[in-house]
Amino acid sequence: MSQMTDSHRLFLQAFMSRGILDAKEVKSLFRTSCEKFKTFIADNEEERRHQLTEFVITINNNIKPFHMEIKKGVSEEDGSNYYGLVNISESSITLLASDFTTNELDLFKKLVESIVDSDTGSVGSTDAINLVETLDKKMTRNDAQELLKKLESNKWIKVMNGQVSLATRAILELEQYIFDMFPAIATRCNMCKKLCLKGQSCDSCPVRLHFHCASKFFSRQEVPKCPASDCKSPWPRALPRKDTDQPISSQT
Amino acid sequence: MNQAVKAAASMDRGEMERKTNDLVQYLLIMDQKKIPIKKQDINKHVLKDVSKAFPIIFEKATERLSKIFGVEVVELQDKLKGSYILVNKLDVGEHNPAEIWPDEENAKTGLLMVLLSLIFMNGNVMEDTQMWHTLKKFGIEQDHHHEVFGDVKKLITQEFVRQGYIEIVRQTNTDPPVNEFKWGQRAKHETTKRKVLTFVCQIYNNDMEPRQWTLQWQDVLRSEGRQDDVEQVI
Amino acid sequence: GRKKAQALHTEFVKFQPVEFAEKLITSLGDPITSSQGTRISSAGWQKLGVSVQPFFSRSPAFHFMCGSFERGARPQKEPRQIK
Ligand SMILES: [Zn+2]
Ligand SMILES: [Zn+2]
Repeated sequence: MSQMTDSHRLFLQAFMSRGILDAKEVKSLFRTSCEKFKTFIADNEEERRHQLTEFVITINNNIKPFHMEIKKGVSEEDGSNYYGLVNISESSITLLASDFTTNELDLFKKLVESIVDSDTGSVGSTDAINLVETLDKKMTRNDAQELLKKLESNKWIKVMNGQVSLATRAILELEQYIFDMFPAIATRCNMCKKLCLKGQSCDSCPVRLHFHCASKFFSRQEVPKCPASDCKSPWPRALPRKDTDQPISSQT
Repeated sequence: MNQAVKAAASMDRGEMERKTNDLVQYLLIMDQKKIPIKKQDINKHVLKDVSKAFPIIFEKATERLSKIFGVEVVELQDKLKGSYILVNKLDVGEHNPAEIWPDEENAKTGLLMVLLSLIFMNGNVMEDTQMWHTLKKFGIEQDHHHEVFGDVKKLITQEFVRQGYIEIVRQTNTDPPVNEFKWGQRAKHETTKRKVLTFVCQIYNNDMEPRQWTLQWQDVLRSEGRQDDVEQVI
Repeated sequence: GRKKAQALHTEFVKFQPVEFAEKLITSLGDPITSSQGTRISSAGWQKLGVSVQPFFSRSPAFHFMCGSFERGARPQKEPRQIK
């Protein structure tokens, strides 16, 4: 297994303390980590990308025994690339994690369930806080408010104009959990086959597409039709403009 | 030690690997709260029936933490003997890309540095009455809920103490008995007197050189085992 | 030796905790002054924290969500209706 240098260690430590980085942040972290410890870094773009891939492979080989992995993920919002350090095991040891109390985790699990249940992949923040009523152990609404803030600052959820949705980091780490726990309602995007919480649905069949996958798919067609071979009905939603990720007409 | 060697020898290689890797994972997870990790908890949660092989497995795990994560496992002393903390081995200097800490963490670190500075500059000890009197100057009071730190008395006298950053020593030979604040063992491993003195000089917007704080500068040199330079300063 | 040196350095710089507190407040820049006195703002504590991080050799812990909770029973869900 290839050896870790101080540059690898710094890169890994940054992932441990930040959790998830977008493509730009990863590139600049790679540069800083190499420069800080005098590791050679290629100057042409192509070679550097290859070097970065090798760099991450080396780290992943070394941390795999501890059920850790730097994994690539895609934002449901706009399809941009992200890299996160994830835990890939569930054991008596991982249950000793103490960032959140069991009661807080119960609320988070119920929040995940209601988000997966929703059509828009998000729930209103008041509905999220009302989930305290479904908990076995009491939690005040104020505590729930504080919890949402902490979940957001730790990049597990996103709160935008009053709507709470799962952030990319949560999807990256919990995708398999969601498919296992909610097989009947967790659907995959017809294009990229990843979990699709936020996206557009066909009116006459269960097909769902991420916004960014839909705009890519329909950009090659004059009249947007459902991609399912046994459906092909006209795609009901107005096309999201290529540059913005939000659909032109609001989701019904 | 030979008991450990015997126990380790009786384990097959696969189990030895698994226990070592589990221990690395365990140490990294338990470090979330920065509370020193106890040997008996390691045996209870990780090694279980192979606890006799603790020294061998622990040594392997420490090596992997150092080689792969750049993290050193340090055993604490005196009444904290048999408990361990993780300390960063990478020297990353000024701007540190790795350490982008969550907001709540940053504010606590700020308060911690203030406490360590007050203690060190005051001759490595400060009575609690004087400490609270000083903290009041920037809005921190024992019995008042603080907008950033909440129950700040609990944070300082319980959390920072449990983490090993601060020690509170009860002096009974005075009347009434007095509580004294001192640096905890974790503070001594995570930072140095020289760094704290540099911070203090920054706060005095560098009007003074570290060496101008004569007593504290001597303390810095002594802490670095540079006995001869100490004489020369006087 | 020592006695003469002692006389020379009579004016040791004496550390004044209260002075340190005042210098700290000014150096952080945006104190909140109210009836009970001056306070360091939340942003002030943040700024101080960020600036002192490099003075600590703190090791980053491993944080995650998956695996930190018991999965529990799988809830019964009807398949999605096509609206
Ligand atoms: Zn997709
Ligand atoms: Zn269809």
